[in-house]
Amino acid sequence: MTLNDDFDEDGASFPTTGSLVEAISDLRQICVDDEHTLALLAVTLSNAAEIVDYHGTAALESLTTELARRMLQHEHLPARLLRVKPLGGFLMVVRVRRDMAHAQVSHLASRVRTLVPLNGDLVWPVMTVGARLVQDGDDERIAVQDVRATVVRASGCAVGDVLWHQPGDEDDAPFDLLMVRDLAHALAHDPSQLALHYQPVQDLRTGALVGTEALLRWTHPELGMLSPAATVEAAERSGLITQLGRHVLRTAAAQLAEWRGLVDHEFRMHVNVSPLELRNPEYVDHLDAVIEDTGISAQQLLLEMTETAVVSDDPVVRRTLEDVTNLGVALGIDDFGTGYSSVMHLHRLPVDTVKIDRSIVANIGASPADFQLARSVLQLVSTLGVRIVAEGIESELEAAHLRAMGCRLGQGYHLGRPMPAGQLFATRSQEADTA
Amino acid sequence: MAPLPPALPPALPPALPLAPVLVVAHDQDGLDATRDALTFGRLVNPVLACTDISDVQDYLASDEPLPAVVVTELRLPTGDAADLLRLIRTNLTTRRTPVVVISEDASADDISTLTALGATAYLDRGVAVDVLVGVLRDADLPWAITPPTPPEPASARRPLALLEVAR
Repeated sequence: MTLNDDFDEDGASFPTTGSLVEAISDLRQICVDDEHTLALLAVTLSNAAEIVDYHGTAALESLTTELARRMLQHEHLPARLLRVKPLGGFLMVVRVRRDMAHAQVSHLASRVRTLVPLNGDLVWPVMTVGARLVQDGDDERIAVQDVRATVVRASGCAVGDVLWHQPGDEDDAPFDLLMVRDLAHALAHDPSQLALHYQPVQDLRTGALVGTEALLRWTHPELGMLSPAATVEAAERSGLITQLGRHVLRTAAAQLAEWRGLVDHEFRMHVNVSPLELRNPEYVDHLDAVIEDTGISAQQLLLEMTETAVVSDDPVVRRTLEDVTNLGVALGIDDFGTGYSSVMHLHRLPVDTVKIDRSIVANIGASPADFQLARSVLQLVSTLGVRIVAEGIESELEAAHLRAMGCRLGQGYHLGRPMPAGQLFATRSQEADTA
Repeated sequence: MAPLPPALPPALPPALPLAPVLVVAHDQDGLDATRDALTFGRLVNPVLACTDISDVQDYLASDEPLPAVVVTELRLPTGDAADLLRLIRTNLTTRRTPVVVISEDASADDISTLTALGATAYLDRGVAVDVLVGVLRDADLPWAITPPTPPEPASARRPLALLEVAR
């Protein structure tokens, strides 16, 4: 078998999956027997962007060709190229032994993976491979679809490696697609599906309500209530996060405006912000507009973000964070203690509030070691002179132990579950009546 | 010019008698556990033990030095830590004295009551031995609970903890 250029044969024809399917089907008839079958490999160069930046597109093309050539020249593994993308990718099929397909493909990939001379320099190709066996009875079209999905997945979790398609993988893709479609629909036409629930943030000593965290609850028309994590993840992957973030911010701000008179000026509305939103240079303008439109005081708004978002080196993010603080809006670090950021990083940032992650709080009721760890974290963070909120408080004992450590503020199921806006003050006044 | 003689270190102030820690427990096990906790924490204040609320009442009425801290069991022979807190908080001289309550089985209501009555901290017995002194040091004590600094010469060093039981 040699390099084949079937899609150039009749010049004008556009390469379609149909022609691929035909090619694979032809090869199956020739190559598949009791001992052998075909493996589809989708190969992508994960450092293509850097190579183009440094050496140019022509260099990338010749590098891609070189890799394809090496893949096809293995002495024992006959292979055929099905497609080449000039920008660092190709699709090929290789005849492997049924009983050692994985080993053979790994071997092939590792042989190809060596430094490539390019423009008088040497380049290391970060070659990421998605692989799928074409088993007897498989539909070629589905196999091609799967291997493409697998290489996309590999680019996320197996860069520079070979990732095999697993049966069941294909279930995710359509679901994600549906999620994204329905999310886009909800944002555009039915935002009431995307409601906010509010979880109280309390003074641990007095029980006073000092703030509330707005938490997204997506009630999907068919699937019911979806977890906020899944919703945000789908939004982040699909670029809907900016719209979703705006919806959440505006709804929370409007709610805060509605509570005017019920809450004092120190009451804080905590709103979660995705790092992706902060990369948008227009974020601050939108924030400013929301504050203006709803008439809330900027000081009552607290944007919660993860440690990783805040310590980002991205100049746009840094600029956004500065501008946000200049508006008077407070910054809060969510899930502190789970990431890699150091207190040094936080020290340089205008952070107002640090929320200690539930994993640090989880076992302080029973374990002296965990108690000491939480106490040390609290002491460390308190050197920053920020407000500290302990998350995930699930019992009065945990609350008592946090008080013993000098922690003033807390949040968690024990203090109050996330609830619709209408219930937040209703339940509290009931409690006050019965107390 | 002759070099100046090295400055003499400032004289240490005369050691004040340290205020005692008052431990309230009616059974020996509870008392021992709290004592251990204080000893492990290298607390050098004298530790006094009372077995019941009436003991504490007598102690506060006497001329003895006021306690720096009270560490009490939740359940006492007559009443509980809440009654003790009411006594301590209504006594003018001790109304700000930190009170730490230790138990293994306080209900959420118990803990809320103690907090409302101004307990400094509630600790579960499972963690108390290891963390008690740290918590005492964090609490805003008006005076007395001090770590053993500056180091004194070995000959003059006080015993690690002065334990005596006042009954």
